[in-house]
Amino acid sequence: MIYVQAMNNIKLKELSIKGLRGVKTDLIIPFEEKSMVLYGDNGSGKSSIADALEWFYHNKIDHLSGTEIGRNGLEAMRHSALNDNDEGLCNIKFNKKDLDCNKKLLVKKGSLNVEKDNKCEEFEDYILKSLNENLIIRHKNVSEFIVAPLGERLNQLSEIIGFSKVTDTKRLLNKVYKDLDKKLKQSGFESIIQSNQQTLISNLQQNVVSQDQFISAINSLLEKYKLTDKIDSLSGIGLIIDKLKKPVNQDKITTIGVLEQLLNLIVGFSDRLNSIISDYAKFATQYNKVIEDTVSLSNLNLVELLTTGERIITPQVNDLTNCPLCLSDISGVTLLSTIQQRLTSLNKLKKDKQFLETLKAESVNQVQEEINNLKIPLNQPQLKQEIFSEIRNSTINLGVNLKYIKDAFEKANFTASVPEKIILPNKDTCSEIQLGIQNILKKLKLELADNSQTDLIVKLQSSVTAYQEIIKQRVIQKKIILQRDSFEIICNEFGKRQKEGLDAFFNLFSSQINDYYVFMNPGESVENIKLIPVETEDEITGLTIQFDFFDNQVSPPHKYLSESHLNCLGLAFFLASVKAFNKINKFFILDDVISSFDSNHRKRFLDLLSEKFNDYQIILLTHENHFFDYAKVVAKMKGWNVASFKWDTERGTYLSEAKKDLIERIENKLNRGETDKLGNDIREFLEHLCKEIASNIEAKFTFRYNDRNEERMSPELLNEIKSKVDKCSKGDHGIKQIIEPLFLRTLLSNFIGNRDSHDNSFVPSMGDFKAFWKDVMDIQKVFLCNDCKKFLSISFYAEDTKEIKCKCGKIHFGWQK
Amino acid sequence: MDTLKNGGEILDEFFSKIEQLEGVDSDLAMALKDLYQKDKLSDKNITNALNDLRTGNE
Repeated sequence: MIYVQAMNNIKLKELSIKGLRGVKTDLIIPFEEKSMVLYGDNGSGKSSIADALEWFYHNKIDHLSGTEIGRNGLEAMRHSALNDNDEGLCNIKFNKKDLDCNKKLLVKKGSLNVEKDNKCEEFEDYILKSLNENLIIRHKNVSEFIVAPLGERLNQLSEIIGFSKVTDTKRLLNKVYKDLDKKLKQSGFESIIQSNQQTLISNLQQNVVSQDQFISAINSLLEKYKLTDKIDSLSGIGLIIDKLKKPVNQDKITTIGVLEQLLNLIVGFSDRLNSIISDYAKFATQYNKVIEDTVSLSNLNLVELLTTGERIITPQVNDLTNCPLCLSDISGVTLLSTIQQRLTSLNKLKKDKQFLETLKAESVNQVQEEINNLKIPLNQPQLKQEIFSEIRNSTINLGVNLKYIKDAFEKANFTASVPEKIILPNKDTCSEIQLGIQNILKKLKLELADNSQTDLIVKLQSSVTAYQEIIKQRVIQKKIILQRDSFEIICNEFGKRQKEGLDAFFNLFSSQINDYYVFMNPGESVENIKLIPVETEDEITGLTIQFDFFDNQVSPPHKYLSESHLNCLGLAFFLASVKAFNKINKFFILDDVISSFDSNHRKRFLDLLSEKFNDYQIILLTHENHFFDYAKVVAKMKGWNVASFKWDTERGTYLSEAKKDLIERIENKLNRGETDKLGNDIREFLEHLCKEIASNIEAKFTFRYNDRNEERMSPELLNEIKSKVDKCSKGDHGIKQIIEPLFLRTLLSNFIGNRDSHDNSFVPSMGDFKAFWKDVMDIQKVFLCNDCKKFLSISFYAEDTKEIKCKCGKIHFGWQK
Repeated sequence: MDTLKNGGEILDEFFSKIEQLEGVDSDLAMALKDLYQKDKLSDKNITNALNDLRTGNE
């Protein structure tokens, strides 16, 4: 907690993955705390980035966590070609060094184990807090929230914003308040106090309302019995009793004590019994209402089936034309809506049933407690005497009544209805028992009155007991009142905070979603998007998304919007969640989220990111060429990094390096005499170079669709550049004459030729590599100016001299456009 | 969006200042705050704490 309060703006510095998902050998992505656009063809393994990050934080990958793949998808995390001795690893370096961690997935004694090298409390805390943040969104999850059912949507949102905990706490506080109120009403404080006051009046001939008054009354009693002793505190009474001789009839005095205990129990009993009977009547009415719908009750076990069906149908709701179960013709939207209606009704019934089950259990416990309380005085030997048989039997009958009520509650087991009114087997004899006890007490006290000393002891003991009972009851009553009133204030205040929080959330969040959506879809017919809570009995049970559609207020979105617009809405929701709830991390990953967008919406989406999320580190993964081209322009303007993924069987997924880094690597290998993959590296550099030259001199290529455009290899590129130069070069000592021998050597080189040449039998020496690299660098020198670092380009063409130039003009050749 | 509080923040804020609510018994407020901070806010634990407060056990 302490750490996280001081922790925010966390960004990614570097991610290294090895042996996980599509990545076989080291894949190092230098994020440098900047946003990054990453391009990769389908199957190039770019989603391995999102998978590795999800595993790093959540220790599982949701889309791999089905039953077919064991251990929360862990089995599918390791690269399939790894040996048991190889480790899969995900190493993340953050802008806060203390959080750097290398997480490994390795086989130990035949089973998969996870290890991480950062075990500090701060890191654990960071991971825990990050679990609630919105860090990754994938294409297939984009519209999930939008098309989700009402209750599930609420659950998803509650999960993100933690409102379910608020609702649970409110429910808990209210329950405690109600329990305290019930306790106060059922405890019969006033009756007990009144009964003890009567005892005091009988003993002291006056009512007592304060301790001073009580002490004064006791002193008057002592005086009446001709005692000179006086007391000035309650403890003085005990001393006086001790001073007096042992009473001649200890049994009678004990019996009086037991009877007074029973009397205190009986005095409040009637109130409590009536309250229990009233509770039963309310319970029985609600129970019988629930039991009426026997069909739905027996269908409660279908909730699980329907919930599963709902989950399966939701992602394909727009495509379904029949029920997957019975194959009858029905649209996905109608089917989903029918299932949802059914679930709403069954879930309400389930909730009602659970409520009644809790009420039943609480009531049974309360009745049992009363039964146990009655047994205490009944088990005293004094009450087993013949003289008390009537009181005893009547008290036992009270217990029988209680047992009868307990049985009535227990019979309510949701198989048949129960009587709504309870008719007790024994009539309420509380007042008779009370009267009987009072009469016997009076008689016993009279008998003892013959012995004035004993009489005084009895009166003193009885008075002090009654007075203390009054004080005790008043204290408890006061405390419960204070607690109940405190809880009333707490519940009201909590309710206010909950409402304020929810209102603020729904208003701001809806407005944010609306803003983002409208930004991506300006001038379209959808506006005023709102999240509307669905309330049942003062509790939010679902969420619906409402919006103005051609000026009509409509809901739900999947009934009116296309897939592309639903995805837009889903992205707007994700981005609003990022803004609202990501308090620690200042980065997020968008994995191929724009696939269903047209080019205009893709641009608007990028503009939204660059305009509204400029302070975030955005990792944008895509396989769309056109989008990547536009993203590169935005990236250049914003200073984001750009990289492409490639994949081959040897390395798995790898990052196509920036030219500068590639030159450094090639030259390092040449200097150290390392030939490993050197040919591939030089070929890759040559491809980069040729693409730039071709683009600048506007060499024309045969049209190809998106992805295949990227597949052009060096020979094709070199030939097209050569054709263009042959056609446009002017003069006998022009560029044509310079590049001809270079291009010829390169084209005929054993290093290139065709795409399969990588696997031919040619084994080059270090000298071959150096010669090939020199030719490539010479080609670069012809086209790239060492001073202005710009290529010869048609954009720097001089009409007057008919020359193609670099930006500064240092390199120039005669050129016929 | 900066002013938006998530559920956890609403709960943290409410319980951190619960003793300042006018008319609320301060001992009860502190007991609830303590249970919340220890992540032990449940029906049973609150009932026990209230009993302890009534009988003087702390």
